[in-house]
Amino acid sequence: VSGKVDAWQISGDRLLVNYGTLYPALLKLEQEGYISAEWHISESNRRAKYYSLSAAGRKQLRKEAQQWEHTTGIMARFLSAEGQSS
Amino acid sequence: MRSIRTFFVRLAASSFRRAGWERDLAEEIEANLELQIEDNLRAGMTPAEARRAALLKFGSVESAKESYRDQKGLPFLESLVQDLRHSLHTLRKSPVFALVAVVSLGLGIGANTAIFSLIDALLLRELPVREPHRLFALTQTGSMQLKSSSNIRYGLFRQLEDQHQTLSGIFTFHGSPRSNVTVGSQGEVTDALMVSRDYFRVLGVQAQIGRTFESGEENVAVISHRYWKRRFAGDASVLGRPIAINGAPYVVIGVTPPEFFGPVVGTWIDVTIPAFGGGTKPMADNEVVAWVMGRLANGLTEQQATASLTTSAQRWMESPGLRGRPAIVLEPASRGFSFLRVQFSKPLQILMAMVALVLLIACANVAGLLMARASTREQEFAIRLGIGASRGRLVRQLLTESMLLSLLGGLAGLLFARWSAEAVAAFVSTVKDPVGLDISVNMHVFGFAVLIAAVTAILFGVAPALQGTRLDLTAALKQGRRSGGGTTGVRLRRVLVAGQVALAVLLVAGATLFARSLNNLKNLDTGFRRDSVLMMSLDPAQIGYKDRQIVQLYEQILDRIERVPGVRSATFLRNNLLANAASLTSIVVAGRLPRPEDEMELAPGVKIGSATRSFTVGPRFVETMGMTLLEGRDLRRTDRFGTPLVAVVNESFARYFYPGESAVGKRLGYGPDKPTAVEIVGVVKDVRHKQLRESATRTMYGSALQDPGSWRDTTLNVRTAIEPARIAPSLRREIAEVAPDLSIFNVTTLERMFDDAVVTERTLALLSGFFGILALLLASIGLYGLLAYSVERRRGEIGVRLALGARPGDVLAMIVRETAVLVVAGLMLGLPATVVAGRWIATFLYGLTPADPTTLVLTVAALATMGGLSAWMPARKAARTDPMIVLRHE
Repeated sequence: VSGKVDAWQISGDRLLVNYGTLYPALLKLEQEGYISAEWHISESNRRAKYYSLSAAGRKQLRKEAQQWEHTTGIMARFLSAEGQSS
Repeated sequence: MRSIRTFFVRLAASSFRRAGWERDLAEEIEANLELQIEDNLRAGMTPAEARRAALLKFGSVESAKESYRDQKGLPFLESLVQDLRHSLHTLRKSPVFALVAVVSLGLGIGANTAIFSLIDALLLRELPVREPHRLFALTQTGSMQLKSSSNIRYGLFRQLEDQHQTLSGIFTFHGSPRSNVTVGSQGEVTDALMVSRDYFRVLGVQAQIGRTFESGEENVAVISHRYWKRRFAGDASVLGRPIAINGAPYVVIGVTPPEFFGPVVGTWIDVTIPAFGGGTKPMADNEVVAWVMGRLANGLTEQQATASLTTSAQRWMESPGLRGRPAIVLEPASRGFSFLRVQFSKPLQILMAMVALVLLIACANVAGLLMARASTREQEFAIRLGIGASRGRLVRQLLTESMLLSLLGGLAGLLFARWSAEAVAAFVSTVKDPVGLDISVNMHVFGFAVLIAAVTAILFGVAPALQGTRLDLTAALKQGRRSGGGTTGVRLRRVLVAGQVALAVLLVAGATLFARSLNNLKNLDTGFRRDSVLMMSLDPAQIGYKDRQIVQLYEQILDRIERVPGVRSATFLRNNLLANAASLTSIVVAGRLPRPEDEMELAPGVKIGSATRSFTVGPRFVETMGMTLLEGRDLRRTDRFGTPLVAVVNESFARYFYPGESAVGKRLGYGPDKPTAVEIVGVVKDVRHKQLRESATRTMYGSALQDPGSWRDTTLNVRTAIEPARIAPSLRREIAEVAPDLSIFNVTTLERMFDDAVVTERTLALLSGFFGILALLLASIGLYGLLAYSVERRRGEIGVRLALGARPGDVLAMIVRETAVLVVAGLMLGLPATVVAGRWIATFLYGLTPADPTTLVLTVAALATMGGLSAWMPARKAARTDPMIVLRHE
């Protein structure tokens, strides 16, 4: 997961991120120490800023993912129960 | 943890230069756009289309940057810094305004802080010892208590000293004020304290250098840090130094920490020595010890301790067969003992209320100034609102300015409080009770100053800030005429000024009441002449003199002293005039049966039948004290041991027991067996002997030379023909020749005794006078500011009036009327408030009521004068307006 373009691509263009939100959000993650940023030369020979997850970021991601799965699990069970009863 | 890290990262970003990361951000955005453009080109768009589409997809670059900036630093802090910088700049641009505001706030906050630091030291602060909240004062109730003391017997105390289940430790102490401490060959009088063995252990105070004493140790002394610095210049070799206290030898073994002053707030103990059970002064088991303090054992509640101690006390009282069912009462003693606390807590509260009012006046002043400034800054505000600043942002800017002003004022106030609190503390000191309070600026006091600075900023800042930013933009932006906001501003300012006048009335009237009370007390006919009397105390019993030896010593001293040039006459007294001490005696009046109404109250609840107040005095007492002899004669040197007993009585005595006849030659006695032992030889006019605020009390003066067994420390009173203080050295020399090792203490004059007796009233009168003047000054600044402003505003109107034929006198009258309305409104509010508030201070008034007409007249006169002075300059300026100039300017 490096670079914004990738983030764009992973989400398959279905998630429209406003840059006005994206930059501060990335900055916030950086300030919290979850990601780090570095300038690199891209394939097209351009200077671009590359963001990468730090160890703390990875840990936090796992935690958040678990949290998310937990939530979606509950939601799924709730919705299927809804489906059966009706 | 993450949020702390984030905070510091953002703080760092705020504090350092932003140029670096701004460039980075621009570059990052540019790179991102380029990538997008390349994508679009690859999709077959033209370069122009590709750039447009990329920009569209990105959205607003500037707003992305803006939200990035907000996240990068701490915008709140940044704008605060910006506001502060701007505030400093605007204050620097109007130095007179800044100076007036900071000085008035400084005086207001300073006065509050000074009084608060005294309240803190005397009433609030805990003793600087270990866990002060577990300390309790012990008092025994259940039997008659004459002196104010713990009323606990020494035997019981010793028993409790060895029990540790209820109280982990207990100590008693006995003050030895004005002890003569000799270092080398130099004697000096200072406050010493005799304490029981566990004193330092119970308080949890450890020596700063050296050690404290242990059980059973004798003739060792621990000195205070202050005393060590002063008397021994902080010399570390002080340990082991021999000193003499009232002639007895001691060795210095330790120095207490700098903040420790002893168990009594208001008395700084310099020398502490072990006594009680130590041996210097053996005590009998049934003697009462003075003051007792104990530390509650861990895990015990106050109630449990009280119950357990009461049981111990009852069991102890039963064993020697003493009467009474005692109970032990515990009182929290975390703040230590204090005798000043009772005397000064109410006056301090009164003063605190007064300084709070002074501060309110100062706040109203600054608020008025700020409002005037806001109206001159309307254009600045209008422009800022016009280019997109929110009103909240402007209000914040103005409040920052107020906060800055009040912080500067608070700083000035702390400096002012620093020296004034010490001056006030020195001021309440008397010869008898020198006050040693720790009034250094501590966290309490500092916090208080900062807190009231913040509160004042809100008090004076909010209204002008809201007022000043409520603008009609178009009107404000147009030059010339002021917008509508001005009139409500002026109305608000008029209310503020009337309020200031009302508060000033309250303070001036209060100060006048106190000053007039003090004056009444000073002009009181005390019955004696207080000028030219030197007093010095002696205690021959302290160095071993007994009964008749004492008489002989005094006779020798009187013989020598009466020959000293400049001495008119000399006598001695057991209970000094105005020393707040007196004794009662039961008497038998020959030929008269005792009646129930002859009873007098010795202490609350303790009555003595067939009583008179009585004093033992030396020869030539009436003459020396400048009393008026109505009949008969003064006491003489010949009324000495072995001659028939005589007494002088006062007018009240004579009138009470011998109505309608002469008392001289009448006889009385001390008991039924000798009903005619004493002959009355003289009658004097009534004297306020015990204190100034006493009513006439029947009194009998017996000859001390006939009754040597009854007295210990006495005071030599010498009436002089010259300045009394100048004669002291020769008197000391004479006494030293008779008794070289007799120490002389409490050298003072009757005049000083009198001044000490009115110390509370004098403190109140002087301080309230100072606050009253301050209030007048501040209120007049407020009034002047408003009038000057309103004359300036109405220049056009005044010009037109003058042009249409009004005379300058009419204009003058107009301004005077405006002033009068404000002052009268203030008086109408302030005077009734004074009468109501006066009830609260009534106990400190003498010879007048809070509604004292003279006071009210003086107050009105003071306020009218202040109004006149404040109005003079603006009114003159208004009357001298040249209509031509004004109208041309319009």
